[in-house]
Amino acid sequence: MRPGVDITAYQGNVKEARFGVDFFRRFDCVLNGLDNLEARRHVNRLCLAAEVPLVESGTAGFLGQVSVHIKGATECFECQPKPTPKTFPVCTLRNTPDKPIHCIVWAKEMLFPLLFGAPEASDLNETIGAEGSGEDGGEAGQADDPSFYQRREGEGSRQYAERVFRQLYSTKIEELRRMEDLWHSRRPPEPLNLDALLALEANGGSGSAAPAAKGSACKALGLTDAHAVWDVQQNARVFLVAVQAFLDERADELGAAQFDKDDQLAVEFVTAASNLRAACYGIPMQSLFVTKGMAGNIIHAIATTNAIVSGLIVLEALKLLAGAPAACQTSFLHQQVSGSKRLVSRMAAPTSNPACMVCGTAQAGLVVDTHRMTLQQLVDKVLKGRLALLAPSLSCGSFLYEEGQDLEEDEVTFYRSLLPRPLASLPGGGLVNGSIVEVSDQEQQFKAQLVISHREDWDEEVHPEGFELSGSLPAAEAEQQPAAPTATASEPAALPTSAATAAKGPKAELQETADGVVVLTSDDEEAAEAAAATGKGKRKASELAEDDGQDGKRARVQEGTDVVDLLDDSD
Amino acid sequence: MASSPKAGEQLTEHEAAIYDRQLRVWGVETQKRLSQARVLIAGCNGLAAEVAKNIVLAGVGSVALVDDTPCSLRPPSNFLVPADAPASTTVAEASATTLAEMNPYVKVSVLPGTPVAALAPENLRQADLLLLCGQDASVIAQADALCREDGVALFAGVCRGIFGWAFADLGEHTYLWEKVEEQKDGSSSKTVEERMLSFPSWAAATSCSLQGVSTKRLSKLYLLLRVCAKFEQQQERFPTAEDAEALAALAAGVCSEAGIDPAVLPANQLAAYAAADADMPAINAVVGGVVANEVIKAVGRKGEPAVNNFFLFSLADGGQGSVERMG
Repeated sequence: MRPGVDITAYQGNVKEARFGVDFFRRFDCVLNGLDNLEARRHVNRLCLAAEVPLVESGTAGFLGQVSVHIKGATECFECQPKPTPKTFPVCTLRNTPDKPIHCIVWAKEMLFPLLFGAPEASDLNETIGAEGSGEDGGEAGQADDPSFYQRREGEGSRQYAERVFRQLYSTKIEELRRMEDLWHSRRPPEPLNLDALLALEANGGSGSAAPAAKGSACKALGLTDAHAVWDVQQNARVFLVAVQAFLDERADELGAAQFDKDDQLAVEFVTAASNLRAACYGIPMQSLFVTKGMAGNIIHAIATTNAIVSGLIVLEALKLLAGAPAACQTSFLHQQVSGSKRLVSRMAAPTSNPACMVCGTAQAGLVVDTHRMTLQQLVDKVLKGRLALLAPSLSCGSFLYEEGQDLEEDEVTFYRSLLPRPLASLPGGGLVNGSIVEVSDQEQQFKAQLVISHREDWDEEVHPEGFELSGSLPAAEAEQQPAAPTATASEPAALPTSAATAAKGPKAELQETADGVVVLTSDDEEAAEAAAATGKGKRKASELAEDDGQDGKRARVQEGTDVVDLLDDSD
Repeated sequence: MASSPKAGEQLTEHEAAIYDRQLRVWGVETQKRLSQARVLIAGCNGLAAEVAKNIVLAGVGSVALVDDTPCSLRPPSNFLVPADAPASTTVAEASATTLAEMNPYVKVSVLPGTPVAALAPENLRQADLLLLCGQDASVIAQADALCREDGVALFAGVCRGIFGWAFADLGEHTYLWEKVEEQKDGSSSKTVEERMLSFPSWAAATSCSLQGVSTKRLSKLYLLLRVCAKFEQQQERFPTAEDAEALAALAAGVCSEAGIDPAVLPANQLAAYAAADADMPAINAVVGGVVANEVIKAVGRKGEPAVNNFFLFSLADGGQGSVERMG
């Protein structure tokens, strides 16, 4: 297109150490087209550290958003809470599912690793607890022996598949039915009868001999329409053939397989396994296409919207490069126009949130049972999972914990030995009620203080993660959407932000779609924007409303024209 | 318009794979209708390149391009034309080659002649939808009259300097309107109804009264293009910087015809619009993306069109993208 332009392509993960602060300092601005929240938060921190302006973007379906983040002048990407992946109470997944997503998450995150992956990654072989008690259940609560799911000596793959089927959909369901406490206000699940299903199959004329799968159980069974919802019998056949295929054709992966939404056989297995469970519980079954979207958290990115958003990104980048950062704005692409007639609307970039932990100096509060939460859980679930740190360091009094590449071997060994210990039993008196922990990440130049509060008696239904973070954190306020990485799609990182904040306003309403994408609906998006601003408590709605008045408009006309003039001169 | 998809016909496995994300946005029926739609594009500038790229990636049935400008005079913003394209080929031919490589499922062809050749009955008859890019108002007016007669959907777009706009005329457009409501048990109920939307003609859209219209909210770009449309209709060409005086005179006439205060029309913007001799790729991307979304909705006949009938994007308005319904 332009032969003289100097373009360097780097292939790699943006979180790699080679793309550190020094790397970012070499640029005049950074344009994000990332597909996951973690990476966005990481780049935000590096841009803050390197003092390089960041243009952030996201799309979902016909919706899009572009925002500009300049250290000291505007809010940073993490000044407003971001929705984090929705989690489900383990007991709901294990015992009392009532939505298709519960069955899909069960099949993908519990059953799949148990059969094909690393069984320790599955919660399924834990004891079935009576609901709410947190204690082991009665007779039905016998721990599932993980070795049950190992293939026995001399056992054929079909035999194994049938044995697992009977265990999951007959024996376990029968056990659950006997836990009467669970079914006072719910319909108890109905076990499936594999022999009856296979008899139907035999009568159907296709015979019970399983066809060779060759990477796809559906193809082998002639179920080629990804949009069709299979009946119970078809699901049973897909389940058996898919399990067989994993054993026969992908033996080398067993024990280490991981679910991947682009792995046809894995998606077929999860579809059948979750539908069979749904059938037991009277939950509607789903097509392969829908299951793939829900299991893979697929964000609906389309070329058209991506093109519009890329144009909006470039317009903001041009303002930055032309030396007019004050002219930068946040843009929203809407699906429909409303009273304001704007399909692309704009608002001034909000100023930073003084209570932001990332670009400010705020403290965060962590409420947790310090006798139960281990250092490992603190590091994995809180620091990496919620605060998006890569290599966290912790210090509190004489207690020190570090991760990173510069550590000596004996240090690594020592720190590892601390990981299984509960917080209260760590060296130096432990992390207990009132402890103030210094948390940092050298790679991200991130620093914050974590104030610990001790609390016992957690209700798993309310807090499945077993902790509560408070303060103006770069974390979720409410359960909203599973914003997991996707390979090609551009996740609407920014969208949920506006949606979450705008939801505080009077005229905006949050809608969660079947696939968990949060969309903002509003009768008047400018009111919503004003609401978004007031929600942050920094700009008054009236102030923002004036942007549409004569004075505001004139100022912007001036800025807009100046920028373009500059560009024309330089071109 | 495209005929209904054949019943029971499935997308191939490969199609389902490459269209996976967009199928989650608009569904299989829309994809099938899209795959049967024939789009004719007159004028191969940067805006045309944006729209063509978008609808080819989306999987439209066929795209025919008309523009015999030699590649030596290629518009720099048409990224479909390689920098080293032979001078002897036309921008339509070079663009078609690039488009065909983007998606083998789309038939890409070139029709001979200048963009106006698209209006010849034998060409228009082969199209479900006509897109005019960078054509002056005299061509748009002529095309719109023919398209309304033949039941061909019309889109027209112009990007100049810091301004870009698009016009849509789908005539009497029927579409499926869907509402999905999540039930407590995780299932969803779907309401589907057929709705109709009426689009005004280009002639009506550029001559209507604006009395009673809130001029504060009115996109100033609409007024600019309406003044220039009058000029282009008379002169059969775009204005240039030299035409400032003639435009100023026309502006007064347009304001009195529309019944609005002439002070509403910003004279400096009118001069800037007339003087602009190049487009901005970023604005092509915005306008071209919006047009492509509307093209997909038009031929897919699902979902309410967002643009009836002008989309107006102007950096002079703070970079907002407005929709006005005129006429």
